[in-house]
Amino acid sequence: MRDILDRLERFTNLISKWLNWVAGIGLVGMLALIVADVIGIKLFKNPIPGAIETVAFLGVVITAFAIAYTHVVRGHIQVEFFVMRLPERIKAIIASFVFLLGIILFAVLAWRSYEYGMVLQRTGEVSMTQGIPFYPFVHAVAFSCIPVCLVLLVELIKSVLKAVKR
Amino acid sequence: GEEEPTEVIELTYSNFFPPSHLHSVLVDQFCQEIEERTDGWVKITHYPGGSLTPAAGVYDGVVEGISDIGMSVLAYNMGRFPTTELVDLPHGYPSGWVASKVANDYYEKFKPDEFNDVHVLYFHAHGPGCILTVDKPVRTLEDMQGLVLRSTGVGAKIAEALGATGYAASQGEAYELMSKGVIDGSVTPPEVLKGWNQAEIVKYLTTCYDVGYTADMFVVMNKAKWESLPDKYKKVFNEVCEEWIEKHAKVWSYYDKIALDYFMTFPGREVISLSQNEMARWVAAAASVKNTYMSEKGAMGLDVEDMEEYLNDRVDYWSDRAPTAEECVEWVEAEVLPDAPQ
Amino acid sequence: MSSVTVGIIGIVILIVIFLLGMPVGFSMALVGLAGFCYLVSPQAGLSMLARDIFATLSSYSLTVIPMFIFMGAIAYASGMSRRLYDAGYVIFGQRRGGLAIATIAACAGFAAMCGSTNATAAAMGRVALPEMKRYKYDDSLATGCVAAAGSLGIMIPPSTIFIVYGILTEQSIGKLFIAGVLPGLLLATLFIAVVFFLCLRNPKLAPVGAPTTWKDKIAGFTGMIEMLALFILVIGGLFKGLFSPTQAGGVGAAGALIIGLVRRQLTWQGFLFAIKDTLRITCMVMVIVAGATVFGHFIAIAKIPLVLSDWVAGLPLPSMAIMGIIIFMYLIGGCFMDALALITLTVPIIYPLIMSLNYDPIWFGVIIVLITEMGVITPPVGVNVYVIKGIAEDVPLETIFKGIIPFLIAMIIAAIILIAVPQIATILPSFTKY
Ligand code: NA
Ligand code: NA
Repeated sequence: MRDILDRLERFTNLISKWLNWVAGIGLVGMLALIVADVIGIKLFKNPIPGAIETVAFLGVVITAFAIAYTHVVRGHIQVEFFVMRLPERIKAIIASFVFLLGIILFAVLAWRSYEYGMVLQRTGEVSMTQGIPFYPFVHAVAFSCIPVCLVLLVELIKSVLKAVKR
Repeated sequence: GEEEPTEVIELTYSNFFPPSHLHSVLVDQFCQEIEERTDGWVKITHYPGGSLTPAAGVYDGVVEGISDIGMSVLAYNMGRFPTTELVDLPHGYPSGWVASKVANDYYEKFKPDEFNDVHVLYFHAHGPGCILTVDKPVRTLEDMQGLVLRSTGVGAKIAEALGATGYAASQGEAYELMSKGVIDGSVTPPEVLKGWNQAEIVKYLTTCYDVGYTADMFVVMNKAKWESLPDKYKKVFNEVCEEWIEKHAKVWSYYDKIALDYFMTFPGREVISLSQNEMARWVAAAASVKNTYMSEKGAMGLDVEDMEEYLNDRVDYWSDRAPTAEECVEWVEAEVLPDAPQ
Repeated sequence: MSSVTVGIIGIVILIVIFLLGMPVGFSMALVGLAGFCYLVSPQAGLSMLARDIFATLSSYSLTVIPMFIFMGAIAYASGMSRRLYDAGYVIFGQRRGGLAIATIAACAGFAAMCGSTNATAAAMGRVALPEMKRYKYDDSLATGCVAAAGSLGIMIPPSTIFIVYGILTEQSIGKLFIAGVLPGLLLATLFIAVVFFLCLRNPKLAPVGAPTTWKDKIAGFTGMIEMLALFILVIGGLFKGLFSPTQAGGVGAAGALIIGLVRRQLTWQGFLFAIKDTLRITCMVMVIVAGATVFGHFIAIAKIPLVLSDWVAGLPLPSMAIMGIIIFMYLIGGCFMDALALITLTVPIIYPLIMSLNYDPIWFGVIIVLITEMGVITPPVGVNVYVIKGIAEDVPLETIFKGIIPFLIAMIIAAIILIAVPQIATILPSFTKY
């Protein structure tokens, strides 16, 4: 059981890490685009068409694809001082509850973002100046919730095991 | 036989205009009127300034039931309303009053499928768009080159056809973008000078009525909520909406007039009118926008020629019947301003 | 059950799951979702969640956050911020709390131009916090400084809050901007006084460096030239309207990258570290901002701001007492809601009351901004604090909140001074036409 769990954890962490690097490429791309646009405007009076819209869309990639890994490295802010003082078993029960809530949140977000993306795809809504479709980025948010759920699931199983351990 | 409702029907109204804007004052008056004419059985809570759903999310918010009623700009959801987009193209709209009347006629005549997911209450539309710039006056087509201008929908396409770069942002963000130098100005009706305080930072206004587009604005209601209303309240809504079209139309013409007067009370401001020759160059440069639109939508199977002809007819029809700008100002001062925040 | 009751229950549940250790952004999104589903409909609530989160993540104005953090992270990875603080220590280090005071001044300057309180806290925190730690400055002092000074940005123009307030109340935004200058300076002075008094009382908070000569100081100054030049380019560009905040951040990050490469101090490993660090902090901030948006819409639909403002407007009390209640209300409101949403919902109701009590509209705008500044550093929804926490990972949240208390007191003193001497806010705008 522990063995499978460890392997599962290594797997989910690896996926999160890879997605985080996709976000990293998005970050570097965003920087390059902004700098190229500034140079275009200031030196050649010629901004890059759609630079602003693309930067905003890259913002989605940067955050969404980093959520899972940020959780792996405990990057999301939480209030610890209350739970810290409790006995181990209570702590594990509370943690199980919190991970379960997290899974519910991100599962719902994945589902609803997918539906939202389908609405945008069906109605043909596009960005205001360059006509870039929104829906791939909304689907990206939906997709990025899956590894978050997996990471949380592994942690949920681990804390449940800790809670029932005699 | 209608049954009396057993409990008060509470509705929410999401509106992108800021609370002090006269169109928001009209929304407040709308909510009051509905409440009075339904003897208090329909109560509407008004969320102005995009405080419930952001400007670009108002329409979809109504479809999903996040708010029950919503008012925003069709162009904020580009591509979603292909048929109605035609209204926004330059058709020689002389005033916001005419544009508003035409927008409603157009919907009644063609009833586009794109609104099937809501119940349409009514439309209104602003007067001919112009070019506002912070510190780079636009006197010729060449001056447009390299400018970054806030614009949406058809306004953005015209801006690009004239040589500028469009920057999509809602009206609420424009002041900040201009004050921070992100954009050089805006393609917009003059109303924003007063209604959104932009006269403080805009120094030049270039009128270009011959390429003056409009922006159609919707007031729509969640379909299920509408269906659930008793018939007698539906009737109240229909009556009140009919009256409010006229009111919004007058407010637009009021703004067209007084915003320019207000603008000129600031020191060092200039209104630039293009010469006839120059205007002809602009019209030629912008013609591609209409042509592209007509061929694209024609290819989609829309009967664009008919629609175009109908729009031109209605513009002429309403232009002959339009109240003067002074009449609109007088009416707004008597009926709307007293309810506006002082 | 009335919607206000549901709203209050929502707030209580939020605090409970905060305390259970659920990440702050997740908690706000979840409670906001549940509350909206309950009050409106499950369909509406579920749709709102997806739309609010996408709208936040795809907001152009928020892309300023990754760019400035990236700039700070590259400066850190290539040793630039280290040299900056080494120089700062040689120059100001012998004075009590010298580095902290210099950090406040730098934050104030940066925040003034950037206008986003959380971008300031993130960018300046990324540079300042590790360095102040290196010089053994107390954790709560260092974090409190950056969190508080970051909030100065919305008082010193340009400021988004003033723009929104101006549009809501039809006041001149230009006058509001000018009105913010003196109160901004007053606040900065009070913050510096706080550091000075804290260090006077407990010198261990900020160890004083060995005495240095003028020669040392000049030699030290050369170490900070490049970083200073970069700051001048970025802040000067913002001030002159050359760049948008996002563009300025991009130019700053690219500049730091070039300096690091030219000086051969930025390694490939360092660059990768900077990327990872930027992603982690950005993600953490954006998740909190997105959660706060969802939660804010729940509070709005629960009509808490409307009901509270209506209640205050109907109170038969003397004007001073009403002003006190209004300030208190905004202070509490700021704890649970994003400042802009709170202002949009309440100002139209409160404003006519303020006018009937004969308060100056410009002065009230300044007061609103001051209270909003407090809101971004008070728990449980104090975005600046969480941003700082994300950078200073090893510092417990309660240490940061503890560090903020003296600065919060300074803000309350500033509010009292502004009430007693309203001219601080109104004198400059009275000289300007618009
Ligand atoms: Na500022
Ligand atoms: Na707060």
